Amino acid sequence: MSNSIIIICSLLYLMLLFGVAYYAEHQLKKGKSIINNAYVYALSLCVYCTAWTYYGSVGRATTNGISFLTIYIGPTIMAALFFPVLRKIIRITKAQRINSIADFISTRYGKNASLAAVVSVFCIIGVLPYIALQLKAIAISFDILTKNAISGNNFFSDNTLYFTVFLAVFIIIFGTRSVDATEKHEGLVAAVAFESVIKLVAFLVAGVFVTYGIFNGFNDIFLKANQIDELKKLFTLNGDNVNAGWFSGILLSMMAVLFLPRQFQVGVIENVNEKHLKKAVWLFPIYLFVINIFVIPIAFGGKLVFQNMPIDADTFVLALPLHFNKPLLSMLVFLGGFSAATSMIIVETIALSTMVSNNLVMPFLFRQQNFKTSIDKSIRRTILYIRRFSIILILLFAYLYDQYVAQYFSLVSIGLISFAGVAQFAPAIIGGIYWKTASKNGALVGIIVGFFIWFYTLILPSIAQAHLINESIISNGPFNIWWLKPQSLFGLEGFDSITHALFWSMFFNCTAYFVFSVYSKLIPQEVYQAEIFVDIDKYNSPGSDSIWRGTAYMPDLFSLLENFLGKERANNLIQNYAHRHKIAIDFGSKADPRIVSFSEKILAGVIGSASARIMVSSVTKEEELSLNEVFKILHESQQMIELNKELRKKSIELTKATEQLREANLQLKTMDELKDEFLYTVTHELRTPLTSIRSLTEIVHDNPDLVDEEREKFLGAVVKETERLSHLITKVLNLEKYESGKQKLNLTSFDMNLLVKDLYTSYKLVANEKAINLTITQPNSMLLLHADKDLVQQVLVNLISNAMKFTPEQGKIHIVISDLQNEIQVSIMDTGKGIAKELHELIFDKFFQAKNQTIKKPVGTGLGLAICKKIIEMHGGKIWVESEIEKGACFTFTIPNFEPGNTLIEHNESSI
Amino acid sequence: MLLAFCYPIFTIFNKPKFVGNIPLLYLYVVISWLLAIILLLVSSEIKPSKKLQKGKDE
Repeated sequence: MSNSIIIICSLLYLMLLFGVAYYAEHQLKKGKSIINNAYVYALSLCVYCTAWTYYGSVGRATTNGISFLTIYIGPTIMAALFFPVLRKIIRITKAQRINSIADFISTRYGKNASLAAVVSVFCIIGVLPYIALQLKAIAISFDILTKNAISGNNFFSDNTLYFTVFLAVFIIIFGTRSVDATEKHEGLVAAVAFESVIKLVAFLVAGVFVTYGIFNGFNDIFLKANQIDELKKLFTLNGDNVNAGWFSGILLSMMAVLFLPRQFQVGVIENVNEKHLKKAVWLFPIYLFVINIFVIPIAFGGKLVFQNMPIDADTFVLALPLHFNKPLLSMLVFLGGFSAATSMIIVETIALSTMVSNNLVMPFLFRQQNFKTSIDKSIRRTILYIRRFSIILILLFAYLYDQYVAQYFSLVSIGLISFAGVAQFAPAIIGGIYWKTASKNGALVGIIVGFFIWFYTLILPSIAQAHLINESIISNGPFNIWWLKPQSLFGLEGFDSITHALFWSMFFNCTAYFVFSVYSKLIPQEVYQAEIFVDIDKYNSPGSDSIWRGTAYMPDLFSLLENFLGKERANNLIQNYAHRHKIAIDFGSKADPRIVSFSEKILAGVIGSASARIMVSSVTKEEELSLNEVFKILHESQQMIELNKELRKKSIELTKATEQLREANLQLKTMDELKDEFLYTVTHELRTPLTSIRSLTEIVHDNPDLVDEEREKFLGAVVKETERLSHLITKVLNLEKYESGKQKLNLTSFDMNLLVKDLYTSYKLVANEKAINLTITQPNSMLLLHADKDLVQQVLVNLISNAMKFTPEQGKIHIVISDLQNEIQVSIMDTGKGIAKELHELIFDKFFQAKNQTIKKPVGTGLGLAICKKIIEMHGGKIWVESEIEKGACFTFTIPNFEPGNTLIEHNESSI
Repeated sequence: MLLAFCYPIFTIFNKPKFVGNIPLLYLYVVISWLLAIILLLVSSEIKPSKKLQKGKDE
């Protein structure tokens, strides 16, 4: 394949990457964040799979079988600890506005600038070869694709250089937009997630091609591999200390997946929402599983196809499609590897450039009196330039490393060396978030000792292997001291170099960390930070960040913030903070200690916690606190938080109680209104017969010579009205009794069938008089019911009377009584004027009747149905109506019938 | 989970045997790995919603 085609395709791919990043940034401006998504977060974590995974795993599988899988099984196991470990780190990072792994360690141990610088330097030393490894992978894949033509003999004809320049431009554009390093890199993370998809798809396509295109599936490959001794022995793990090597690989990758600067960047700094961890916990391991499915088939396939051919196993994934003349597939595979390398380079470079700028350059500059006094608004531009320059410098060194050193090593060896390097941060970080006694001295000495051992046992042999130093140091030890031999330190032999280095470096690192922590005296700032880090959930709430004591003036502080953040942003942040914490701000007077602490935290997001401390100290006069004072502040802070929590709880309870009270009040008000209306109605009902009685008695009283016949007629009317009055009062009193619960049920067992039948017989005569056809359907059997007979009768009378009242002449009334296993149901159907659907519920409400009294006066007191409902409910039954206007009504009630002995002798029904 | 991938359980399967033409060790690692992922999926999607809420409340 020609150079130009590959370069054009690579450039097109890079343009696509630019497009994805631009699109993400554009969407963010419209208020829609692409990276605020659990799947994008999980995919961004897959930046873990670099060119090493893509090319190197295959290479390692051809020599060590499945031992390459430890690098992916480790992160799967670590995923199980995402909630207790990674979530805690995310919470601390957000609360403290931390912007890199070096900043995290430095902030934990008293915002110590030296510690931040040491961690940053070690990160660069440990990771720079890893970046170089990616460039090497790009160069190798490019060379393979162009049929092993050397990509460049001189500096300017080297394609890797141009790719590096392109990447530098991309990173500068999307990685250094804002001076605040805690701000999310929307475009970059979106691009990295996109690349994760590309590399996965490309590798799977290559795997399917090899497994099913070249061979006939997994079985075929394994059967053929079983016939070759070199491959047959890879079916198991062999060696003296194979278990130790396997275990150390898992342990190493468990630490790397959290503490590699790029993993810390995407997993912690770029995390938008900690809830995204929920998906990442299983999505990330699934990705690792899937991308490794075809590694063994490709490795064995390559060995089977290229037997005795001098092809580097690291390139099998690309060499196989090329060998079988598949140019398109080869290009896809190349782009997959290219994406694996570029995503790593992008994220790693950003993480390192932040460390270089915030932990190396800035603290150095801020310590220079001349620089410190000349800081003005141009400082933001200066910071961005420093970061951009750092990016160029990091990529340049990586490129030079690739050109002059990396050629001596395989992809895997460089990757594992980097893993062992960053593992040295593990004790300081894990200890820092769970152990309050851990001190800056412990962390500093532990990391330095660990790195020294790492360098001595891994880097020194590599340098000797590259013939840059005398190889006798490796074979005989320095000054011929055998127990100082780098690869068998203190006589420890039989382990692979990585296991050996990991054991000794971690042994000395952890021991130094523990011993120096236990025997060091903590300074107040360390104590405070330890407390905050270990108990982040206790302090991670507003108002818990005010350890600062001393004198500071708002104009100085604000001017400092203004220089780094801009006037508007600084003002907004301070005003919002002051508003949240009810702090009165006077820009001309002394600053509240909490404002000073908050300002330091904001600045930490821009220039790192150590530099922020230096800058804030330059404009304030801090009082030195004793340990007791720190403990007192922490105690008060904790009490305040507890109090706030309690207050919040009480406030929520109060809000709930207020809401309940409001509802109760509303209900009372409605009840009161209804009561008034009811009273009005009742008095209105009472007044009508009273008026009649008064008029009639007045007539009798004023006319003594009234004829007897007429007097009798008037007196008869008076008696009738009195009865009506008495009836109404009785009903009101009854209703009151039912509602207040004063009415007790007089339960007896009786035959419901007989009761209904008797009522039917007595009403039949009245119905005949009104020319109404009254019929009944009932079982031909005794139907025992355990209830208050009088009250049930009252209900029946009321319902039948109502039906009689509302049914016109020639109408029909039909009574149905039926047994429904556990209850008895009675329905009274009429052919009256019917009831509108919306009134079906309301007609049983006494208040409803009362309310509508003025609109449409009903016949009777309007209390009958309300009483019926009460009686039925007292028996645990239900009453309802089914009706439509002009289509009659059907009132039905049921009464539970649980009493033993209630039997229905026969179920045959008959109609009368 | 770590135990499934380490000594001594691991050595039980580190033998030159085949199960359906697939090397025993490979099959064991793949199956254990898949089971580990399923365990993570179940434990994170079912339980953590409560844990997260608790954490947030704290």
